[in-house]
Amino acid sequence: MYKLFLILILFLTLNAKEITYRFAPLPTKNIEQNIKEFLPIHVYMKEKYGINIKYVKLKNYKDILNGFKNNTIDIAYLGPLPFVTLYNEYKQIEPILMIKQKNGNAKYRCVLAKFKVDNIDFSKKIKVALTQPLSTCGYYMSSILLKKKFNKDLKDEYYNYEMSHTKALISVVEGRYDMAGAKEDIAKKFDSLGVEIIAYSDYLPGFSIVVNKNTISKKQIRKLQKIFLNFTDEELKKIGGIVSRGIVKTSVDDYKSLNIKMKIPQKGNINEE
Amino acid sequence: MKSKIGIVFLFFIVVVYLFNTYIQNLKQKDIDNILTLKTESLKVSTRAILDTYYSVTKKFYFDITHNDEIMEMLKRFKTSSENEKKILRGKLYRKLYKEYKLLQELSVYQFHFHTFDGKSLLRFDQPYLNGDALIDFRKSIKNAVINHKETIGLEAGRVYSGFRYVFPILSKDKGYLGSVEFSISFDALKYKLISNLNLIDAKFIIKKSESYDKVFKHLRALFSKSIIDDDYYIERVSYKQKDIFIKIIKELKKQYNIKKLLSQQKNFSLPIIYDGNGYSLTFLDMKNTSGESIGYIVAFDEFERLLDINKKYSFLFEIGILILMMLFALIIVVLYQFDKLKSDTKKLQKLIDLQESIVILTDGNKFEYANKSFLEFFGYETFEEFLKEHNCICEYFEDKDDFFSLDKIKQGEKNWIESLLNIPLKQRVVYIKDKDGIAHMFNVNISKYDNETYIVSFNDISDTIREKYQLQKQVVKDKLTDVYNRSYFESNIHKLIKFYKSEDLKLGIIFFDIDFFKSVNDTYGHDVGDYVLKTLADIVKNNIRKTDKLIRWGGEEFIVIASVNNLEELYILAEHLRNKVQDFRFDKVEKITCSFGLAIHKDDIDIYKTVKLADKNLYMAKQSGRNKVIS
Repeated sequence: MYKLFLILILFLTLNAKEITYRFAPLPTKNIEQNIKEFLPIHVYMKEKYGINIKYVKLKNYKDILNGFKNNTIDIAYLGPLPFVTLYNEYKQIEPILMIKQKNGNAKYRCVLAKFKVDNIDFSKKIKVALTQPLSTCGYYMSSILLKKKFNKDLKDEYYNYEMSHTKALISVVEGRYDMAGAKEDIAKKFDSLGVEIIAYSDYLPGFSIVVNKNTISKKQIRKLQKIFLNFTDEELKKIGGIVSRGIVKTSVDDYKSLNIKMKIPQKGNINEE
Repeated sequence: MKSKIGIVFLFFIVVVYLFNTYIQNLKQKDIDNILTLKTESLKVSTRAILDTYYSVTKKFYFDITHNDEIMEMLKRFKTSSENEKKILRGKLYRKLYKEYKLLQELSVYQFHFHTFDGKSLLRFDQPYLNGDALIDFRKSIKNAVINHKETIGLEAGRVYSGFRYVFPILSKDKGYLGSVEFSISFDALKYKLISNLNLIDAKFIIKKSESYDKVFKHLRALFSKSIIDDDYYIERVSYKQKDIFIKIIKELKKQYNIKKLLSQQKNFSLPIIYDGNGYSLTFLDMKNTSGESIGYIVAFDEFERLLDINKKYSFLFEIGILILMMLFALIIVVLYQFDKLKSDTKKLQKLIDLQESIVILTDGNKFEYANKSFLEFFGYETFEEFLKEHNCICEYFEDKDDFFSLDKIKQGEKNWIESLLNIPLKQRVVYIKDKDGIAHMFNVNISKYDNETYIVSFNDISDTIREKYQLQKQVVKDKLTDVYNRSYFESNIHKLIKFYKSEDLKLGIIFFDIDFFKSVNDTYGHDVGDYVLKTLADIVKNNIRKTDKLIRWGGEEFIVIASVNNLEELYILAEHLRNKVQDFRFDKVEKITCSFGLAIHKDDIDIYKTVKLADKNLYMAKQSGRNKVIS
């Protein structure tokens, strides 16, 4: 997705002088992983079109929001919930391209998972491992699934943020939590460790490249969108990196189905250690 | 001259090259000594760290194999269904994850159980990644499965490469349940080395074939090509590598063939100066469990002494070059001077050769050159031939009165030149015989050429001297009788007195004249008279010694100056002469006699008084009847 974004930026500025875009990758991944995912397209863009990307390492979504507001960020790669949350506060951002999941789908599901042999006693307060506050599969979707499947309000249960899907799932294997909220494809990887999925969400819009309309003109945005969407799947695979999964067009409309009126706590309610 | 300078310059270049090589060798030896220490330190430190890890992991292994619950899980894993295995795997993780966290704190990054048949059972760092066959990739696991033996060493893996400690897990009944592996993070090793050895940085580079090519494809992104060499990869690359490290590697690549050095699979260390600071990169060869070299630990360290060593040897080199340059300049100056001297000498020799007189160059002792006239005079073809037989022309100086010879060199005079210079110019005359034995007399003219050399010319004045002698002879001899005249007496009497005295002899005067000579003239005429005088002179000349002198004193009066010991000897000589004259038969006149008066000269009186005394005695002889000797 990021690669796509970079190419987009490149074509946007084809006739311009060398330009540098300030890019904020996912704060939930470490900077090295982000760079590795976007490095092929970064190198490609720089060599081919002279477009440079400056990585802006931010700790959380709040910083990204502030970055957009202060015009210190031009582009970000965001999950659906963070986008919607940020959009509600700052309307000058817009998702333009959605990067497909590894399984080839543009949309994905969130799940609740537990260790198979653990018997959860729903008569007591349960312990739920979450990813990050602004992760779609974190508090937001876990609370929806918990209510829908087990008629439990997450706010009344124990929960904590483990800061990644993998860590949330591992904490369940370790026995520190009764269940974990995570993306479906990640939860399935833990099947070999006896982790079973106990609840599925509906399909949600995926991760997207979000631009700051204050720093990138509308004309540039549309032109980039057009160019990147003209790439065939084979061309994107050839470029490599994250864009090789495929790209689809997106807009604010795709994210309207998400109920972002829920108040999401920024911290867990247990002190595990 | 130019060619000589060229040769000297070439020689200078060669000497500079050799000197530089020598200095560089010394410098390299100093550097190598320090680098060897650095390599040894790295080697020992690495070994110590790995040995410590062995103790730590062995303890964990012991705890695992003595935990009944874990051993039971592993035992069940051998026979369980796939679904049961998933649960067992999860339970095993739940049982040991705290230990894994402790291991992580100890920088053991991989804690990995393998199944009895050599597959991955549980990776604690990526627990969802399991079930893959390892036995064909990992010799350590093969060794555990087949031989039930532990393996310690460096080994490539499907996730990471690392330094591994693989222990077989055997049940109480010795049934093989699988193995457990602990892998040391290279970062751990790196940070411990940095800390222990106070390094700037450390890296572990591993061959592509042992890293990138062996890991799961989706994990290849965790490997990056090493900037040191394309054939080597580096794990968990940080994009914030120290700039200085990158710059120095680039610089090192310009100076050294690192690829070749790496291919030798031996420890080595490279020094480098960058931006005014000294650094070293020490490469420690790391072998895998099969003893094959698969990578290097690269220690990046400060090497401040490199600057000191460089300064020291640069100074030595500069001093050496300065001395060599001075020497070179000196040689050039000497060559120039020598050439100039040679040229001047040649010119001089040419000039000398043109001289008709004999001319030589000498310092008074050593004979340096002689002209053609010299060679012709002495009958030599070359100067060298002459030198084979003689050292000096002075050897030819003959010891003669009025001529300089080596015998006349006085005490304190260094040589014949100095001696000649000490006497008046007119007396600088030598007597030399040529190749044919003909005597020549030379006036010696000495000019100083330089501090040590004199130009000595021998002007042949033989004719002049001979003429002089002839003239002198004419002046002091009586024309008629060809005996000395009175002028000779006056000029030489004092010399003779001195000579006789030096010989401890006495000077005797025999004064004689012809009895009745007037009547001879009157009777036979002056021609007969002259004949008588001439014949008488011949008789006397023939009867006195060579050292005695016959002088015509005047008219028919003669004097013989004779050296004697006493008056008796003089008397005998006079008597002998009287008899000879008396016995001689003259033409026409037949017989004449002479009267003789004698006197012995005494030192304290005037010679003329002695002559007068002899004359008086002659008168006495006349008075007493003539033809007598009166003393």
